[in-house]
Amino acid sequence: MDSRPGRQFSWPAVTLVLSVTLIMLLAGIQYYRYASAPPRDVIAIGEARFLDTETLKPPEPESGAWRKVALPHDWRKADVEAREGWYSIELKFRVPPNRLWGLYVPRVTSNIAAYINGENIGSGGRFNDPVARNENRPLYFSIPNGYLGNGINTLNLRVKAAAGKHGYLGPVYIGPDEVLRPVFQRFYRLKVVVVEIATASLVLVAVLMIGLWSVRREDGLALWFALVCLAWALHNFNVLVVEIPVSVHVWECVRYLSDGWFAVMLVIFTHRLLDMRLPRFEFLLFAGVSAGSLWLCAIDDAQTFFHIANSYWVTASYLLGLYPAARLFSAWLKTGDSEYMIAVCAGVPVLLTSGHDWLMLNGQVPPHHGLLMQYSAATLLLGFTVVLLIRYGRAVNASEELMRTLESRVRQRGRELESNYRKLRKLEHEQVLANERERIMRDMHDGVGGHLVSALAMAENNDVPPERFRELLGNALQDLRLVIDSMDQTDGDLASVLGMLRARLQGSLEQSGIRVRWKVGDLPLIPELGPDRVLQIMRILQEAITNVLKHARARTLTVRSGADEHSVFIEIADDGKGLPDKEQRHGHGLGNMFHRARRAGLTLEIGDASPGTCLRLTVPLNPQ
Amino acid sequence: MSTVLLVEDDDNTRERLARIIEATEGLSLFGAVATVTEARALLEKGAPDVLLTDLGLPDGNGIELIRRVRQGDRRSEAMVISVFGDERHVIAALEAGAAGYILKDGTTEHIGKSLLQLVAGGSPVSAPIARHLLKRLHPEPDAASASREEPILSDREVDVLTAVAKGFTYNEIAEMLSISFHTVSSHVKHIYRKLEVRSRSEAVYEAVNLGLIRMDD
Repeated sequence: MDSRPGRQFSWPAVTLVLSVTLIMLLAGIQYYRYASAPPRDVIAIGEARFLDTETLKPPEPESGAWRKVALPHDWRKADVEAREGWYSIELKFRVPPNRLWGLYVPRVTSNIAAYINGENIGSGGRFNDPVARNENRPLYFSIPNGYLGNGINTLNLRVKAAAGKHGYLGPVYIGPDEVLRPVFQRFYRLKVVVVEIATASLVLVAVLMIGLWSVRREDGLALWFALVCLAWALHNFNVLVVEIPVSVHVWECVRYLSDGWFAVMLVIFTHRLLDMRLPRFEFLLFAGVSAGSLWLCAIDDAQTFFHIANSYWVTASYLLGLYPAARLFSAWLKTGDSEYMIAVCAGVPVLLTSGHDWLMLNGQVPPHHGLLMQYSAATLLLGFTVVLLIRYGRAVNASEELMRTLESRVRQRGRELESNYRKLRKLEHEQVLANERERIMRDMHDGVGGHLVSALAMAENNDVPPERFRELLGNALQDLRLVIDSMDQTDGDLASVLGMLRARLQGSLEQSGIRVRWKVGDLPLIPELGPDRVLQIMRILQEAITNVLKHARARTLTVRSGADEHSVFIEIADDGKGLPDKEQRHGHGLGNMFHRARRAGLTLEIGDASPGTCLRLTVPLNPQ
Repeated sequence: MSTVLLVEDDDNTRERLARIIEATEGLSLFGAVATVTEARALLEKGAPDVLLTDLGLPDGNGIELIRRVRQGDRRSEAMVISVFGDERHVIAALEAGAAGYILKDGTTEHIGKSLLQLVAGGSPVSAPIARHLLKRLHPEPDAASASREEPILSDREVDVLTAVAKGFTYNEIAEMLSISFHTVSSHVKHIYRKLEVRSRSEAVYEAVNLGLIRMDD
């Protein structure tokens, strides 16, 4: 889960949680007192005669050693060794009741049967082992009209403790049904219905948590909480079930183990809640409690079993239960996080009630109230569920926050990319412009510039004939036109480049009187053909044609073009006197032509055509 | 005898061209001026057969004059004087109604021939201009437009322009297509007219759209 750096105490939250806990506690105690209040305006029986005998019928009033006891009568305190005994109470009526009456027994351990004047009016269940277990539920027996007669009536109560338990009989009440029954029902709701509801809630929450865990396996918190709830539900079953379906030994094993394992689950849950990883500690705990469980279950002798279970097992479980409480409390003090405080507050009633039960089982507290721990399930469930909800709420917030930051980061990233892209585009554009500028500068320098410098030099020399002058200036202008033409969008169409070249050279060709055979057909387009290469091609061809006109003394000039799948070629052939010897070639600018061809990635070949010369320029279709 | 109005602000060039016109048989000078204003004044008085004008003039652009003579009653022919004969400078003039250009440094013979060709009902055209005309009036057939639109140029006109763009001369084209030189030349003039009409109708269309012209008056 998320890590929480040193959080300050949030006093409003502390106050709120403490107030809610206090109010719930007070309301709970108030309800308990209201529901368990003894009835008024009825006959409350506070003393009886007691005889520890195992007869099935009420013993004769004169037989044996009846002794007077006060109710509540706690056999453990009164050193009653037997598990079974009889009570006898005398009821005197001057006017016998003429309507339905009832006998109300709020607390008995474990089972009771009632007789009026020797007639059985009901019992709490089986008397043979396993004895019906009524120590956690009130009993009510109707006394039909006519059972109570004029004068002295005898009420006999047969009480039997379940195995390992000490007999106990609280005060009993006799009175009119319409007065007594509601009091019984009120107490029944507290002792039975409330616990049933709590147990059902525990099971329900456990199922929900397991469902949650099944979709979020990486988070064990929900699973451990579900196990806490299930262990507790098992504990509550012990309180609710009257007639156990299995042997006493099995049942009591399960009942005590549920207490111990409840504490274990609570420890693990607390570790997960606090994000503590103590695998060695947890392993030892598991191993220890498992060994203890086996040992406890292996004890055959009932007396030893209950002694060990009550004295050691329950004590150990209780002490183990203190550990998570201490952890949560210290976490609360350390971080000030209100979710830990809620957990602590939810745990306090559990500690108090289970402490009471522990003391009661060991005889330190009289069993007037019976077991109480089952009631604290309400606060624990509520508190821990709130904690888990806070957890999930925070997790959802955190993930939403993460999404938001992620989104804003993505947006920012997008903006950065866009601006980078724009910068790049600008740079590229500037680069293209710079390249183009440089190319034009170079072209001017190579062509027009050179011609003009040469013309300037000539102008300083008075002997130069005007025709030379005109020629030079004409060349300068011609070259400028080539540069301009090369900037045209030719779309890589070499045929139209040849067309442009012919248009440019038309004047010189006409003047020379040479016959031109123009054999230019359709040529495949070369889209990569930029202005630079167009210009180089035009210059090479212009130079070649000029050479023919000037030096070849030819009658015919043939310009031919063609293509294969790899390249386009242009041929310039004449029928003149052919190429001069190597030494005399320098004036023909051949070296310059080859240089240009290389620079533009073209292949230039010049050869004898006898008669004349043939120049072939090859332009690759897919220059790599 | 066909009359030529020459508009050129460079004195040397104007004098040279005037000499060439005077020297060419069948041509005479209607006037030789250096500015748009002067040319307009002359055009008030009458109309020449041919307007030969530079584009960049001190007080305006030669294109104004081309438009004026093309839209006048005489429908004089127009031709542009260009230093480079490059597409960028010449096309606007062709769209305004000029039918070809001459280079400022062209030979006497060539300039005379071009002007005579024009008055004889033909037009000169260069390879780069032919290529532009093809692009403009005969775009590559693409699925959307070609099927619907009536082709502007006839097949023969396309043949002529394509050949010019590849560098063939009128004579060579005439031979290839088995037609006369004159027919080739007049094909080219027709093409110029189509460019002019198309440009004007596009301009009108745009002007109507912009609300500059009302069609009902």
